[in-house]
Amino acid sequence: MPTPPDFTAGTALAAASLNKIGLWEITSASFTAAAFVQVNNCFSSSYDNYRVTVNLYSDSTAGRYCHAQLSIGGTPTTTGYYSKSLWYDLTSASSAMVDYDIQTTKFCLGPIGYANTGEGSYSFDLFYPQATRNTKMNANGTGLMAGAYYVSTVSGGLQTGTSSFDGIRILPTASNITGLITIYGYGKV
Amino acid sequence: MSDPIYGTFHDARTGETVTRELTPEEIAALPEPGEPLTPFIPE
Repeated sequence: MPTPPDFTAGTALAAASLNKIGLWEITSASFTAAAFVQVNNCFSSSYDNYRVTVNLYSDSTAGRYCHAQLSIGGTPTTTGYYSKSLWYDLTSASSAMVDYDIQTTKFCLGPIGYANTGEGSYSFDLFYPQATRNTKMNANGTGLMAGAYYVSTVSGGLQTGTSSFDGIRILPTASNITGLITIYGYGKV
Repeated sequence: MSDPIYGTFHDARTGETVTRELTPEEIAALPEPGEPLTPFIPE
């Protein structure tokens, strides 16, 4: 049996090898000029932890923040969050953060790309969204933002409820977004 | 009359993606628009 990931053509894929695969793609969806993208039935008991990647831009010429809300049956939960994102200018020699976003109704991801051009990209982990315990979130992102800023962001968040979430909504502070979201589950065998 | 507002809905179980105009109830449930980022120039 080959040692993952050194599979060879024609070799049977044994369960012992497949079970060592770290990330499984659950779903992916593109969205265009939408107020939000709502992904349902993406969290289940098959996984404990998830990786979400989002590449998107806003149609606004003003700077916008991107947020996420956990949902149940397509209805987002809007209470019980403690979340903050901080972002810094990649062209500045300063070690200081430029600004921050703090929310109690959603997770903060950070600034998003603007004016249908500069794309912002985020990668974040969600820990136990489907289990009846607190959900934790860690995020990083980078992109070209309003004002021709090249920025990166760091974010964290806690959802203090004990609901069993089965979906997620990605939304900006205002305006519409266009992009692609992909959700993976961390293997837990 | 204001422009229609759309949302994209994706079902991971079926793979189906639908983009449609939001209902008045869904629009009412949207968060209040936030302030533009500082130090950027507002719209």
